[in-house]
Amino acid sequence: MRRVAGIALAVMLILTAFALPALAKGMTKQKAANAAKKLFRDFPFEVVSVKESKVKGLWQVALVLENRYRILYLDTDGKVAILPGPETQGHMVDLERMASLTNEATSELGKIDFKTIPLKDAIILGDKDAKIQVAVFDDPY
Amino acid sequence: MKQVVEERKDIAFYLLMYPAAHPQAKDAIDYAMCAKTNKERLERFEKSFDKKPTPKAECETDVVERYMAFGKTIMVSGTPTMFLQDGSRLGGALQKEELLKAIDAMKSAK
Repeated sequence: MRRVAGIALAVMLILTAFALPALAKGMTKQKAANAAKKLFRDFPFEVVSVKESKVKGLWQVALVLENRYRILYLDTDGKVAILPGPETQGHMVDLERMASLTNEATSELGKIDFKTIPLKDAIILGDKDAKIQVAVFDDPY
Repeated sequence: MKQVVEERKDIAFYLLMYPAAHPQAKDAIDYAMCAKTNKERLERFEKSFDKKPTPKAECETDVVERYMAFGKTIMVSGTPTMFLQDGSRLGGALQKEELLKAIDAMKSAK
């Protein structure tokens, strides 16, 4: 009887050993916790569950933070997060740089070619030959 | 902006008259633009922040109309809106520190 139990345990260990690399390709609680740590820093939180979301490659991570359940979406590498909720407005965040990719995309759209701005009729504040020029659309109100 | 140019001689602001939300500012701006020198224009412009009635402009100018037309093409919706030389857009009134941070970030990126 004891022998059978021993074999069963060995089989389980082998299975686990094979299962681990397969899991590592996806998302684990530990991996999710490491990624979430970048966001929540010193706030204590606990990852409750991890499962694949309806979007391929995007993992739905449930956690408890400040006594509340929260959902976080992570990519498989744990490098990009999407944060639902009113505070973060669903921004996509680069966890390695801790920068909002959503904000960066928006400001990229607002970029223009500086040389196209007609500066001829500008009122100049500072030295007109200064190396750094800033064009300011302004009015007295 | 004033504090910035006092502190940093390598920075100049080019103020483009853009009374998008305040068409009534056109008179004050025209009065400023009619001044002969930049120094005098700047003085008149700064005075217009008091929002007191300004003397009538002594010339005719369409600077406001031209900047309004140009601003629309690049979707400038409010003032102040700033553009740095790399083309990036900074909207809204920024603190001196924030402004310098953005300017210097651009410098180091080049």
